[in-house]
Amino acid sequence: MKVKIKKWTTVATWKWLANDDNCGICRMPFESCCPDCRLPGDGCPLVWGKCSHCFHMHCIVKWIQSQQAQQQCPMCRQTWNFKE
Amino acid sequence: MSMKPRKLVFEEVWTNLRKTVNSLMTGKVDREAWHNSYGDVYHLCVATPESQAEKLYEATKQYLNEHVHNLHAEVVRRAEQVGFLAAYHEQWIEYSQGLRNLNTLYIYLNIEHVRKKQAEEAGAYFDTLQETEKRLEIGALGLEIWMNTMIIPQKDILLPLILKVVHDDRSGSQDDSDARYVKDIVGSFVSMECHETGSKELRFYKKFEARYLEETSKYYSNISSTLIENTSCSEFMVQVLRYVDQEDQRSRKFLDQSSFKAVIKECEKVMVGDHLKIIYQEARTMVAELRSEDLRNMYKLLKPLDQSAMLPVIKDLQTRIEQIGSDLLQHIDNDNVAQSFVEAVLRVYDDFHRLVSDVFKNDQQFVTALDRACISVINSKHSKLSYKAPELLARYCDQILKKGPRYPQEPEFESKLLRTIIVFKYLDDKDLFQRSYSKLLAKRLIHGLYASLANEESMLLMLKQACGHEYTSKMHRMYTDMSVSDEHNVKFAEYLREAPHMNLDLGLNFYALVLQAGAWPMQNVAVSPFIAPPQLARCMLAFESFYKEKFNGRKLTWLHHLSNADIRLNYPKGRSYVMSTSTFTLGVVLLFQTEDRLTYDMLRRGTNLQDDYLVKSLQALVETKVLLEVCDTEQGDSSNRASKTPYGPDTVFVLNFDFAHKRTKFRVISAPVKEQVTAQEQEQTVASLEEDRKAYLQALIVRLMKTRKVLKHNELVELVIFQASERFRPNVTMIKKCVESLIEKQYLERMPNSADEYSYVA
Repeated sequence: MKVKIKKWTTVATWKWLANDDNCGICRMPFESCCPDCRLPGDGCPLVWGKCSHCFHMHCIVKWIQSQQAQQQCPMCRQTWNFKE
Repeated sequence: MSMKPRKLVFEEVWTNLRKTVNSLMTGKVDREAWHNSYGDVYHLCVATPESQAEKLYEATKQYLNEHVHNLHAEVVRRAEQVGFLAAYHEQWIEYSQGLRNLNTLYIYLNIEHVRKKQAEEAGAYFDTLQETEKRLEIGALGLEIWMNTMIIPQKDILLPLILKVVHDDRSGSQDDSDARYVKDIVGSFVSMECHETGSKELRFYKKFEARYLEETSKYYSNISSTLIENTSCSEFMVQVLRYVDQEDQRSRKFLDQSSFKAVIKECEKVMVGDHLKIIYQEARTMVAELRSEDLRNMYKLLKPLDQSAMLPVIKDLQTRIEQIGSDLLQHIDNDNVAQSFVEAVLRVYDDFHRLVSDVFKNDQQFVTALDRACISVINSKHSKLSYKAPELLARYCDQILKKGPRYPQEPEFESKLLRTIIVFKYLDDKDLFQRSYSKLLAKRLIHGLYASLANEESMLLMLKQACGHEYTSKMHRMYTDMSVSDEHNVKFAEYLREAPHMNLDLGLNFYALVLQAGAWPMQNVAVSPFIAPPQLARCMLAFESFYKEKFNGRKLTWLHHLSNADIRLNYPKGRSYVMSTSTFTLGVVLLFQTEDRLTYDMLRRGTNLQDDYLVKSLQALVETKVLLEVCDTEQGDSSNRASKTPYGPDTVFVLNFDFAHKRTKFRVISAPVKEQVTAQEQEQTVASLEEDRKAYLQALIVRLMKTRKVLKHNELVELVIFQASERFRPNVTMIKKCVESLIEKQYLERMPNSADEYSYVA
């Protein structure tokens, strides 16, 4: 017998692929948002540095702006570069 | 007439002036005499070489004294003919009128002489002055003389006569000829002490008022004692209200306005306050029988007494509501428990809410009693109910939000929503409701069972209003995931059209619902392993790469047990059907593309599904006769059937080529796999609820301590209980444990010099 799939409605969940559970800056879980945001998810994304450390985007941007001289990753002190 | 001060002989001027004064006090004077006398007063005051004002004042005072003496004699004489009250009234009216005019005539003296003297006196030490030496303006002086010479000597005749008039009026005597004098006479007492320069205290009037009240008290004490013995309580209350009303009218008829309140209070005290016991006794039956007229009267009578007077009635009412509520829940209709529960609760609420607003004027004390009773009715355990209130309410919400026969139409929905919130506000365990509700919401959203997304949103908004942003944040995220998924799928379609895919055809109509793992209440791992058929695997792969391109650092997990498909079954001889079914069943059917006949074990290996899921799929397919189960010949089959699965590994399923269905499109729904809730899992659910509550309390305590810095233990506990009540009702032990663990984590510390105080550690 021939069977043809006409329509498929599927369900998936997404999770952050982070090497840690909590953001190293605000200590909030990646599953929830940074302290300045109210809703986690697209509004409060995670970003990764070249050093492979991961933070809430809002947290790391704030951190970099607060440092005058060098812009280092708060975890490993390497110069911070966003991973492409 | 010259205004110039001149020399004059006092006695000459006074003889003339006295004549005018006398006729002024006893009748009228013509314009000319008035004018001359007015001039005389002026000239005496400004006379050279020295002012004659003091002489004039003394002479006038002496005149008034003599005059009132004469009037007094007149009153006594006339009293024998017309009665004392009439005689007094007659003279008082004439005297007070004359005195007003006299005061105007002496206006120059009043202003230039008396007021200056008064100012001097005010400067002097009070105790060096005799009362009689005080200067008064002529009008006030006349009143004081009237008081001392007329009222004081006659008060023992006057007051009893007035009180007798009042008494006669109360008992409805026919002879009320004296009644009309009373208001004026009582007015004379007041004006006597009320002149502007004199003291503001109504000493004489208050004495009179005291006697009036005493009489009132005596009279109504008698009346009410007889009344309560001879009539029912409800008749008693009607009568008392009538008496109070009459007495209010009466005090307006006879007394100064400063006394109105005191009289009513006295009446209520004597008639109601002294019979509270009987009233309370009756209150119980009135509440039980909901006699709103009686209760309304009772409220009117008890309210003016002190705050606590109402308490027994309030307590009765609360007990009654609780009783009726639990009776209703005892006899609940088991067909649709959720609906019956909510409707029963609302019926109790409506009945008594109406009572509280109509009869008790929404008095705060009664509103609180209603709230307390509703909380107790809703949250207490009822043997007939298999579920707890939060669960039942969540199910009720599901019914009104779901597509189907119970889904209410637009205007009705709005009102049902509001009514649901009434019940919701009374829930103790709002966190349990949150859990149940979000589970049902997830089901509605994923399976497209909601009646309208707008309704879902209004419900969430209502919950948010009632419980705050945090309470609904996860549910809001679920709601927004729906529209976000729509966007993703549009973009995904564009992605497939563009390079490098160049119109990649997935070969089927694909839609993926992408949910944020933390927000949805289901397990975030697939419940059973499943080998996705290649057609589906292709879609998954394409979507995964699209998603990865769009969102860096996110991992997708497919939840096949929640997904479903439409498939076309093409039978030989050109017959074809469209079947809607779950993805798992789809996986099973696809295996029959190449084989007509498969054993259970082969199907198992082909799909990798867990037994329980595979069995449910097969059962559904066998039931609709898409597949036929071929009895295998091997022995031991029957023993297999008794075991966990109804099919043995060698049970054979064959495609039914004679399949026919009356519709070309049909659904195959496999029975849900029963989540086997073991005792252990149940424990875990309880434990996770407990964990959530602890986390909530700890956050609450830290927030409170951060703002207050230092708090006593009891204050902290009180605040926590109050603020947590929008979620659940915490017990004190739990709060204590949370404080302990916060001290351990060094958020708080005990104050070094007091045992029961905590401070916040920054």
